[in-house]
Amino acid sequence: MNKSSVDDFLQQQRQAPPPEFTAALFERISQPSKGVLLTQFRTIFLRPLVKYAVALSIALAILAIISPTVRANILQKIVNVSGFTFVASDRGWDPGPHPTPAQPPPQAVRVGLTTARSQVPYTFLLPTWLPPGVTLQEATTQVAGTSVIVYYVGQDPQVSAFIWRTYQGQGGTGLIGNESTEAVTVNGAPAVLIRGIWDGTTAQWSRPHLVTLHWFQDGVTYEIHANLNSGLTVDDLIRLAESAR
Amino acid sequence: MRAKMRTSLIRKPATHDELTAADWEVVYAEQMPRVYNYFRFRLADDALAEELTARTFEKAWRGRKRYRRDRGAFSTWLFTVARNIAIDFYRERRNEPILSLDTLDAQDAGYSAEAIIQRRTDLARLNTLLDQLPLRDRELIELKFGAELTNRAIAQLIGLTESNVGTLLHRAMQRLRNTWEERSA
Repeated sequence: MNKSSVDDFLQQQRQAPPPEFTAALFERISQPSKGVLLTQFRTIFLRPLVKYAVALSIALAILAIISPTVRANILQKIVNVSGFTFVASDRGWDPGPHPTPAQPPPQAVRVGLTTARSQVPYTFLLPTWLPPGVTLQEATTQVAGTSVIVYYVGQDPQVSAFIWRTYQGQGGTGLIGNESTEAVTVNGAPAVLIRGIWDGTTAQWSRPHLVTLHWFQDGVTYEIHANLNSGLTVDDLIRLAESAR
Repeated sequence: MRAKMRTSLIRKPATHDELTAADWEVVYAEQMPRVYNYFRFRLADDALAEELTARTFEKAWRGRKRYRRDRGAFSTWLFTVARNIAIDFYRERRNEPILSLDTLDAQDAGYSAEAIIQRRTDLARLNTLLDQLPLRDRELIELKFGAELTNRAIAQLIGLTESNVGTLLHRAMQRLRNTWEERSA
């Protein structure tokens, strides 16, 4: 293989975006600029409102800077539920610039369950009870760092019934929506259920039917991610958790 | 003539007040494939590349009046937005339950079996190749080969000197070539 092969390969990986995607995206983002009425609406109604909003924001910002308590309440608050710590906010991720992470997120690698067990420095449990029709899809077990993700599928093998995730230690999972947590128990021990996920496209918390159950057991955090619209219930998730062996 | 006009708009864009819908059309035609390929190289996934490209241009369109000509080329500003979108994406994904495994199949609709296999193989190969690089070097390759940015533009974007970018790129490419030859031997 000569020197230029890898250069050629990299250059060949560039490809034109699909034409239908190109056209649809352009239409979507440029549509607002085409409306004259919209412009007038902005001039007459929105600009005065924006001025008031800016003035209000400045006042709130000053208040937030002065008072750490007020700041925390306005922007975000620390939530401790069942030993897990989360940051709750209505705003979702800050849309401003972010520093580049010191380390990239670990790449997930699909392996078999046996390999997954050998690749992490802890022993993790799996559910011994499964809802009717649900099976373990071992081929999709993934290891990312010390995190293990196991997929369980229902009738449609292409769609996960739920996802079972484990990692060492007890950690929160970062940002959650306000009022999205519910304290529950797993085998009598505290656990937490979180509803909804952040939708970066619409910039709001949404889809409360997507839930995650978190609990901590023998030095390992377990999470069950599930879609309650797929037929599973919160009781099912707790039963799954309580069957871990 | 048209190519010349496009170049002048990209390299010497109008002031933010002058970035009209007509200018935007030219910017879009020139920069969208670059952003799309930046994400393809970064994620090795066509569907995700489309999604993040869409997010980038939606955000750039909404915030186009914040672009300051005196702080650099429009493309540099646009790729700053794209990089932040990528960071946001990784953060979201950390918590997001991936409930559907059928997206890979959906992406392949309309392609022949041979094309699907070739496309998946190439993307997997690309990802494997770039995975061996440290994060910074990988991003240099993504910006150079995916986004087709100049060393100068990359330097402005990530806060290095142009010569530093050239040196790092040279080393990264040398590393890739060595691996390529080892695997081909």
